[in-house]
Amino acid sequence: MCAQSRPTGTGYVTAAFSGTTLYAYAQTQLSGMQIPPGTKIIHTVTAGFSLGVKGGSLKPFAQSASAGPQNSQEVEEDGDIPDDGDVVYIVVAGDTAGCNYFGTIWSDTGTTSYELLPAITSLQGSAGSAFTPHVDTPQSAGQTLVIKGANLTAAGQSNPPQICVNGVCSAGGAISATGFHLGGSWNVSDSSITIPYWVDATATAGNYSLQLITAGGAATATFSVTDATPVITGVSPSTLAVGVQTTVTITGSHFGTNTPKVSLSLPNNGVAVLGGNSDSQIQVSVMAAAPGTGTLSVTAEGYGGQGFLGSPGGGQTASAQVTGVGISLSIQQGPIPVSTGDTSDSFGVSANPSNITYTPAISASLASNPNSSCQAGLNFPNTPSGQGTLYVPVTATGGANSCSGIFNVIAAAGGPTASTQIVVPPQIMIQTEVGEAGAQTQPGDETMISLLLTAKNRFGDSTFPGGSASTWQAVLVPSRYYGASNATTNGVEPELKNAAAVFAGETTESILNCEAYWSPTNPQFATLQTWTNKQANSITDTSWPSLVGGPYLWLGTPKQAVIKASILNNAQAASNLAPAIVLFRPAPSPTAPAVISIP
Amino acid sequence: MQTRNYVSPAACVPFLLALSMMLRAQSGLADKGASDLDVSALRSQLRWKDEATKLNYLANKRAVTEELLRAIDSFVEQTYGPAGVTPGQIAKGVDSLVGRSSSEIGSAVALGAQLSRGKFLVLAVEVPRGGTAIPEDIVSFRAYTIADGSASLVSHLELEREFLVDLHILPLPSAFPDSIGLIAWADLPPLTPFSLIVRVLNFDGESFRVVWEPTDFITGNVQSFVALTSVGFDLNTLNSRWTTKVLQRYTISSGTVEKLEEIDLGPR
Repeated sequence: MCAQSRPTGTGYVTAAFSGTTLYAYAQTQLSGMQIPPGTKIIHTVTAGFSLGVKGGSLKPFAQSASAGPQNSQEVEEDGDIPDDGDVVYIVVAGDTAGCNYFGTIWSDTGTTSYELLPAITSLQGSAGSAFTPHVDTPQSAGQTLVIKGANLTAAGQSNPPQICVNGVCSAGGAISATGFHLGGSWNVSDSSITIPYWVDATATAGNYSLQLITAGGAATATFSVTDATPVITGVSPSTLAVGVQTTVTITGSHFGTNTPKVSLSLPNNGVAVLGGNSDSQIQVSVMAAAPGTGTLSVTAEGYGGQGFLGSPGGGQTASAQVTGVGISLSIQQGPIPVSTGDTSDSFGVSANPSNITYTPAISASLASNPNSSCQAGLNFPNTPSGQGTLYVPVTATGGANSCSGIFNVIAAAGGPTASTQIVVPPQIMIQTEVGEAGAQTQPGDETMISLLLTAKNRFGDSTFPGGSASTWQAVLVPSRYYGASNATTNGVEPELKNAAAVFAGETTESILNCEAYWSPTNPQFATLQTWTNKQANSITDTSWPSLVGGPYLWLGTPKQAVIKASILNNAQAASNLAPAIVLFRPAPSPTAPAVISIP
Repeated sequence: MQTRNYVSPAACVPFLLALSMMLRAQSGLADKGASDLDVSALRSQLRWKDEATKLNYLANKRAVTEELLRAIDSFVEQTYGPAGVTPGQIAKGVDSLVGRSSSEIGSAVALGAQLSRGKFLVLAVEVPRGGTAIPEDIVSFRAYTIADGSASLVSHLELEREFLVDLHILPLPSAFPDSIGLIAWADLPPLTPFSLIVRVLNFDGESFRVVWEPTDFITGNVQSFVALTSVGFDLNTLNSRWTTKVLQRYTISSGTVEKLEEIDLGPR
């Protein structure tokens, strides 16, 4: 507030020059005037003037404007103040003789005005809340500082007043002081000044000074920048499997940039704060040791080297509820077929309850490797982590040598375990199936199974090459099975499933003891069917290959064709009225039928 | 060039008996007291039925095979020549020696020919060998010169694979001037459809020569695999997936076999 007109009244004032301006401060209520004590009375000098001593003789005072105030100067009182000739009392600093000096503005050679002292009554936050700035208050939060008081502006100077924070000043512009920021958009009145503010995450927590300066004087206030109380908005997973080391992600705010302390009230093996945590997210690794409900607590450690500086009424710790639960584990039942050439095979592992997060530990050991000359390796390249049913990738090595194996596989998650079996058949079995019967894929067609069983029946029969070795690798060779020259490297279906079943001895199909087979054409099969009532010894060696297409085997021995009902008709058009293969063996007796049928 | 066509091994049992008696009476085998008994022993050594006999077989099969072939030579040399003995009768006698009846698969074939170098008998014999399941026969082509009423071995050539059976021979009458040309094929058991080894060879009065040695063929019928044509021969094959009949046509010109074309005959 300002008053450009000359007030009238008497009272005590103190006065001093500053440059060309005489500043006289009212010490008492000036008589006849509404000028309270402390009001600055300003007289701007435009020419020389004199001061005299009250009650004394006039003593012209040719004080130049630039000479500054003099001690023990006397001025004459004329009964009027503070106009020319009026008396003002002046207390001059350093004068110990008398305190009630007064003076008269002797010559009205300037303009006189007065300004009221600014006063700050409070600092408030948005909407009248307390002003409690804390570290890491982003500009986007829209927080404001409201300075409440009186005489916050001054006449003769442009609004707004000058404000200084820790000595960094601006009149209406932005201010930044050790990470505390006042914005440049001020809303100013004589009783209230509203300024946006924000605080960096790296700001210095502690006490800050605020000074408001007008032409009428300065007012000061102090405030504190504190660390905010941490807040947890999410914990994932919030259900911890007992006995399972679990990575828990805690989200929220004000966790600080110093590594916070995290604790779990449930029995546990220690909470390890993982790297890469931030002010809004922490990852910890923890294993609950017992079921129950507990709390996961985050104690902020502040930002940088200053540690945590709490605000009055605030806290350093935030908590969230978590639950420890015991789990049960199940695994996809085997045998699970895997080819040495497969890159995308997997098997399922499930945990109950399904809302717990776990990482199953997978181990495998060789159970057996029947009739094989090479052992495959089993790898689990990536162990998944998550909830419910997880799919564990699995690969097998040793395809180049048609290696194989039957493996016991165990999945563990803390205490619970589950086991299954993975079967890696020799790739040569798959190749033979693809090469010989790749089109026989109808459900229920046992062509592939039967084909492999003919080879299995040769194990131990030294009259067949590889029979003594009794291995799939030795028996399934291109000179005995066309399909063995097939180059398939992966586990195509249903060949893989069939190969695994035969390799593991899981199939219940019977082909009697047949060690051979052939694929008759339609005319050949028609001829074969006419032999049903013939005895084996009535069919010559020549007749089998020349009339029905049978192989040159067991020459000189009566032979028998075995038609298996579950071997469906050939998928090839020219043989579609005949079974895909007819099984072949030495007849049980010379008089046995040349052709029999089995289921 | 004088050749005979494919000789079908017609039955001639009385003559075989005479040949056998002739062997006993005249052959060196008979002189050594071996005759049928020794040949039978050789044949027996070329068959195996278990691990023990297989090991013995593997250790001795080459020597025993050669000895059996020499017995065949003795038989031919002492049998062929007398008036009235035909190549067909020789073939039957050889089948009897190796223990095969003439009605069985892989019967021997004998061809007589008059070349500028003289009169010859060419014999193709399949010697049964191997285990009870898969035949491991060996085929021997043997040429004998006929002079002064007796035969003597001039050249021989063997065809041998891990497994082999059912030799078939067809003469190629005009393909090789002043020599005996043959196309021979046999099955490679136990594969079905049948996998065949095929060779074209000729005998020029001095030695056998393999003229054509292709990779193996697949066919649905061994007996009718080869059909002679005016320029060479046709092969009734199957494609690699056994689904389609493919006729492969060949010509023989200046002693060289060349493929003329392949004709897709449709589904098997």
